[in-house]
Amino acid sequence: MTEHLWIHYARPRPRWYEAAASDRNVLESAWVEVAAASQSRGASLVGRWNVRGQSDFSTAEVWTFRDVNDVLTHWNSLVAAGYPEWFATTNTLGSPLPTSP
Amino acid sequence: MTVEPTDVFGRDTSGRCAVLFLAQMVNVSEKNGRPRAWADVADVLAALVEDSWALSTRAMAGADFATQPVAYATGGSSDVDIVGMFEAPSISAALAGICALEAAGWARLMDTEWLLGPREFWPVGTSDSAADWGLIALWEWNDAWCAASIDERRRYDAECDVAFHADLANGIAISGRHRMDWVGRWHHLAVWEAPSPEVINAAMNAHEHVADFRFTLSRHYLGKRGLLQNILAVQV
Repeated sequence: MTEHLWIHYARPRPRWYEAAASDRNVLESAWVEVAAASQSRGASLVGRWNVRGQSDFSTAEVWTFRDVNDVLTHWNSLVAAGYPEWFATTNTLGSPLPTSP
Repeated sequence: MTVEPTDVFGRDTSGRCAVLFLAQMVNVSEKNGRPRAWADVADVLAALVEDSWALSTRAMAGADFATQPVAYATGGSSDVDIVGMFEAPSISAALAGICALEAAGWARLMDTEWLLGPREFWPVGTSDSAADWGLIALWEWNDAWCAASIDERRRYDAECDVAFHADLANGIAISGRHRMDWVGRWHHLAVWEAPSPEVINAAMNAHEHVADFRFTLSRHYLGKRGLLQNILAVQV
């Protein structure tokens, strides 16, 4: 089985800091559901780190996905749940290394 | 961040996938290896065409049946020498194709940042053979857009459409819109083809006039359209 790496960097947009805790909780619950759905399809969240001191972003998540289409499905689900409207992001996709001939 | 069609742009769900390359030429003084590398890369590109890839925005739009790869030479106007946009039939095909190109020797010709993402709006406009300047636009919605209401965003889209209608009337063709944020920072990609840099500058001023950039942060590359092998100077 080949797996794809997906590194996700995020920092809150200004409106996130101004949002009520109850609104944040509703949003975060929806995003947790997206993550759980991806994990149920075979994705794995390796971990989540603070990178505020050494990048343009606040947090980094490292994921692996069984198929590149699962990466896009994961991201589209987050978009549908409003996530990038609350967090500025950048992502890096990694493919399996070529096998030696 | 839903995708709503506008007066100018229609929704596309074909699954076709942009393959954007931002590249610096390497090994320019190497006289023998580069043509050999190009010959191998050209074989892969020809196979990709057989697999329903488009190697130019005109081919993407169905406006040109030519199959040779097209790119834009920046002439030192940016941090990259060459920008190009192909289109693969799917994201899986895009990744496999990039791997095949790199394995064939692409990296002996160019140091490349590859970006890829699915098409969400159809190409619009018709460029003719005189439209040989490219504006490659990557952009993201800014904090203000993210905080705006749905009605504010729709009014903004309508205002931008005024400028897009003018672009089309001025002979500009636009590759539609592809979604790139799942593999990078930029939310969207579009490549314009225009008759001259002056037309592009006038268009940018018109977009500024309708406050297009109120809600976006953009990176633009300007380049002269040409066959990739000519820009690389690797005739074989």
